[in-house]
Amino acid sequence: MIFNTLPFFFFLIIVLIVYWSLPSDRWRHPFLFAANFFFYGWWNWKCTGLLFTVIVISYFAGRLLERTAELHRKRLMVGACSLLILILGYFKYTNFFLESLHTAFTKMGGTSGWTTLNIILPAGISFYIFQALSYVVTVYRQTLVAEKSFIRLGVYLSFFPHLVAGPIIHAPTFLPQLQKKRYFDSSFFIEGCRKFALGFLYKAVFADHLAAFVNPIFEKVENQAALKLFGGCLGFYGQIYFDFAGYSLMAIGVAQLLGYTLPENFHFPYRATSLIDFWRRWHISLSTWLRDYVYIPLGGNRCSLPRNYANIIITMFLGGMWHGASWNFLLWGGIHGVALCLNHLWQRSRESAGNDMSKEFFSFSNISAWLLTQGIIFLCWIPFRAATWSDTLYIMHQFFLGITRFSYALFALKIPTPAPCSLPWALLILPLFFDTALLGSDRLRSRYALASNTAFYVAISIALLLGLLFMSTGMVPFIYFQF
Amino acid sequence: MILVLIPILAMLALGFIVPSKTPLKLKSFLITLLLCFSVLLGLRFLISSKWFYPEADAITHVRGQVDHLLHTPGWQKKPVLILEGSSATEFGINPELLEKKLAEKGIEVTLLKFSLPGANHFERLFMMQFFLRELGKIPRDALKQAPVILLSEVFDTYDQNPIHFFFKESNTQRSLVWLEPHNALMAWKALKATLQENKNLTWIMLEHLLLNRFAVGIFSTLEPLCYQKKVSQFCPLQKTKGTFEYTKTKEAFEKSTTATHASEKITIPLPGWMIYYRELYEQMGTMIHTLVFYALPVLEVQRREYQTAFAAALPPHTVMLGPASLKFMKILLQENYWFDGVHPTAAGAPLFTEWLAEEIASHWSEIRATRWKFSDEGSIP
Repeated sequence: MIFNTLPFFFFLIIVLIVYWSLPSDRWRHPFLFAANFFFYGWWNWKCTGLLFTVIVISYFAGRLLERTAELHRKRLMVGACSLLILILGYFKYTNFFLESLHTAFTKMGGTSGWTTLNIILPAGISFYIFQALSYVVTVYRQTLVAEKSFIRLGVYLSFFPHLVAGPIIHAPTFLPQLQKKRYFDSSFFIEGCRKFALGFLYKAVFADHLAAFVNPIFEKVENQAALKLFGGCLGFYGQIYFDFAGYSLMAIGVAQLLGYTLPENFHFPYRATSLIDFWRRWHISLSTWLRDYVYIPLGGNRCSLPRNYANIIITMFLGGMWHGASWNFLLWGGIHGVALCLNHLWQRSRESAGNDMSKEFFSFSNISAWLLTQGIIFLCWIPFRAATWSDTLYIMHQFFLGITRFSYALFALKIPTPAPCSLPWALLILPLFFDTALLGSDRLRSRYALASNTAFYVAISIALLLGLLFMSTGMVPFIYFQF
Repeated sequence: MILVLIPILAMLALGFIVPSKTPLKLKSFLITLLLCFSVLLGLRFLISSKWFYPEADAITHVRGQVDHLLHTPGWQKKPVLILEGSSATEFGINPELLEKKLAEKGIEVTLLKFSLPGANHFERLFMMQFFLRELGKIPRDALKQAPVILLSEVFDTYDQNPIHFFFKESNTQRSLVWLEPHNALMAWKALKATLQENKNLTWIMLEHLLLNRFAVGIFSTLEPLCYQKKVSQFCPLQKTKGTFEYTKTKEAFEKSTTATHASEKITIPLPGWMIYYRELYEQMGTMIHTLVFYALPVLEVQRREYQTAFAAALPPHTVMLGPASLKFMKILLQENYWFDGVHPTAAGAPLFTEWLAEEIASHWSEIRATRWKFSDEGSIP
């Protein structure tokens, strides 16, 4: 079930009515557990078995970890985590490795005889397995007591608002909420509606309209002019943000309608003036997960400088790999890893020289840092979106040629005529500009905010209404569903 | 361009409008939400249809035809020939050439073509309904005076599944636009009568109906709505499709013409298909003087056999043009005439058009003499 479809609308209405009509959490949790499985099974009921298996593994691992002697706890944790990673690896990476090995053998002149397996990639597998890992490790670290109720743990791992596309919820953030009694709070509920409406506008209006422009360009990149490819990449730069941030906002909103708080997943990432800053604003739940369960266990920054940088690169590689079984994602993670190391190096050199970044956003240093950061992010989206290596290389090559030609033309004072584009260029970045520059500015929001309950109700209702009128009927799937 | 600012403003409003210090009330919020959705539904019913239809081909196509009719001098005094069909008609019949060829044979008509590639029966029904809505009262009354002759294409795919292509076109403005409540009910009845497994389709149809009523995505094209966009009435397919195996299809066709054994018995799927004609009769029966069926030349054996079976199943008082004779089919046996086994290329289309003109002319007195009367329950109208 996709959030911006009619079946989900009906599902949500029924779930909300039944959920809040039930007398206590004793009834609500089993109902929510069943609703989660119905939601997941709507897409492919066969995959519910896998979700159930993951819950069973996590539950028994948690319970056993509490009862096992200190000596064997680590072994048990490693065993449970390995099992979960094996499940993820089988469904997500088997064909990738088989294909890669086959290609390598063929290139070396041999024949492998390996063929890819017919494996369905269950929606959201990376999200719920990462949550299960988070739970097992947290119980092992003893920062959380193992959940005694199978249903409660099941609700946490399969909670439908974030089940298929995140945010990835860490066990200590969510499980304590399940143990507290829920009361209906109308202010909290209506705020959830606001978040859902905003997410709906992001996804159904902005992201899906951008997709209609971007997808045809990336479907066949060959023979496309450099300017059109640039338009496609610029469109994707906006599309991925609106798509994923939109889904996250809708998920957070829906969770709020049920009385739960999910942490923020995006905080205006395109305002970032450094890559370090970007990763504190983009897919926050994943970067926090990678920090807590990969980067810090590897040694984090409490080690030698080269080791620290190696840790960053390994973490970012794994982050890239998490997105999908493709060399393009590895490249994306790798570039981000290297760029992050350079960013840290630069920051250290500035700190040691006693040079602090200016606090004023519109200063020369900040603007150049913003341009450089966003330029790198923009370029990194190319391998992320391109279907193949050759497409990535073709786009990069065309950009290089285009820039060379443009510079030459500028030098020779011959301004080239832009290629005709089906979508006005301004439309690609207009919503992104307003979102990043105005909505993202706390200063502007606090200065010009209008405080009125009636206006608040009207704004939400009209936003939902306009979302319906302007939404793309093409029902573009969420980009992060594939991960 | 300006339209894109509206959702941006809504987005900014969600960021800049905050609740006051008093707690929010669910009841007030729900009332506001309900009011907004009532306004939306109200607008859908109250405001002129001209403003509430998206840029779907069915709309622009019909608008082009209305324009053509109203700009034809003295159209009220001549018979109006309406061709309704799918891609075979769309790419095979050149209306200007057909009008000209008929005039050469002494038949003066105004020709309107309601065809779209992949248009199923109910999408065509919507086109007819929309045509009447768009005409306005005076021309509509005048149309009742001029004899209207409806030429309906016979094509197995759409007859066997009256909502064919619905899956392929689902969640597009094209599908949303024709699934108005009444049409949706009729299509659902047809579906129920024709296909066995329809549970999933029923749900999707209901979903489309709701999306249609709430005007979902009406501004999604982000283009201003214009009265008439598609004026060109004939856009033929230029050359043979790369994947089309002409020789194999031709050989199969030739073999079928010399075969001595009786071909498999083809059943005409009456129930689902009949609902469409009953609807057409109920809505336009007083206006349409004669209903004529026509089957355009096809190279695919199975389709041709269906056309033959269809013609044989018709009651004696019904006029059917085609299937094309074997003599004519032999003329068409050239690869460059065919895009695939069904559709002609730009080179083949004039031959298709001339064939239809010839057929109309030879049956003209019969067409004029027959008055359409719908006979229900199990027989073809």
